[in-house]
Amino acid sequence: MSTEAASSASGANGPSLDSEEREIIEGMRAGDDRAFERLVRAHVGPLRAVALRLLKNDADADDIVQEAFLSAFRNFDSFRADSRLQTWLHRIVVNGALQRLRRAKHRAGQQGDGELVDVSELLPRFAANGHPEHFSQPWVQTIEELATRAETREQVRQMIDKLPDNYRTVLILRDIEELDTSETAELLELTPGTVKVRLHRARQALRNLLERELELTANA
Amino acid sequence: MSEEEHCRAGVHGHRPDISCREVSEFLLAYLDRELDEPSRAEFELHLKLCPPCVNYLEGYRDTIALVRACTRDDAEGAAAKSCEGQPNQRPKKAPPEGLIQAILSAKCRAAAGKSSE
Repeated sequence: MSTEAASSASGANGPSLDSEEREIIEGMRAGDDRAFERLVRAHVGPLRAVALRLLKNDADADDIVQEAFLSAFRNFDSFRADSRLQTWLHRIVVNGALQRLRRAKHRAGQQGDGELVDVSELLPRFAANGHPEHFSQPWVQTIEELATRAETREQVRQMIDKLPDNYRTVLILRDIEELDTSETAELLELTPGTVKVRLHRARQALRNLLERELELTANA
Repeated sequence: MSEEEHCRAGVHGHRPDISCREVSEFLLAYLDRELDEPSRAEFELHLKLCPPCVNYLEGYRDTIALVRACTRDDAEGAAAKSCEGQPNQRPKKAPPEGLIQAILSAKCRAAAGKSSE
């Protein structure tokens, strides 16, 4: 396909493709091996990071990323030029990782990871009159201060990993991958309402964990 | 008046139709601007009267921001640098060349299989 054809295929409302992305798309459509290698090198890092966040395991993440690129190669005809390569590949990887999580959970019957937290125990508690049992205090450190410390970043990632999969996956897709509610619901085969409930509980549980483990209040 | 007294007070406290529990329950809808205007006004009136709920809301927002800040690729890249020499830290590795080569080899096999069909 010519450059003009690729451009016109993106449509009037499509994304404006940079020249590298356009060349990769043209090369992939022409069956050029170098285009595939450029595709891999340009996207493998972020895709592996997504897979690793979801699967928490290097070998599984590598497997899923490899399968995703093979799927992209085999099904490049289905790539719609009105989306970005990154978005398309991201969805393939997320789909693959979620399928693997489901299979693993099905095989195990339930999660056997004793490190996981009980989300219900981390939600705020209220008296019958609606008043909280614990009055929230302001945090004494800013996000900027916290995020500049490598040790804190690692602690935050470990706390996310302690959430049960049904909460963790929603939090990752909504708050880290920044998918919207309907995309997340579709990928996880849930209703949008369930996504919202799980996201809210995951954030509340994580808020409590962070406050406690990072000693974020003056009374900590 | 202490924070606790404030929150429990009948005069300065909350209107009876929205409690701290409801603020907590509808926080996501409030932040996503999904509350209708009367509910939003009630919610914000409660926040004006209840410092603990404001603290909770700010901590909730900060949780979202901290999750993003600690998982962004550039943050991880910075982490890798600052983790050097710290064996207990999880350094962020560059995508292994071995993975790239494995993908390219698998694709060659797939292409060969495709052409022999």
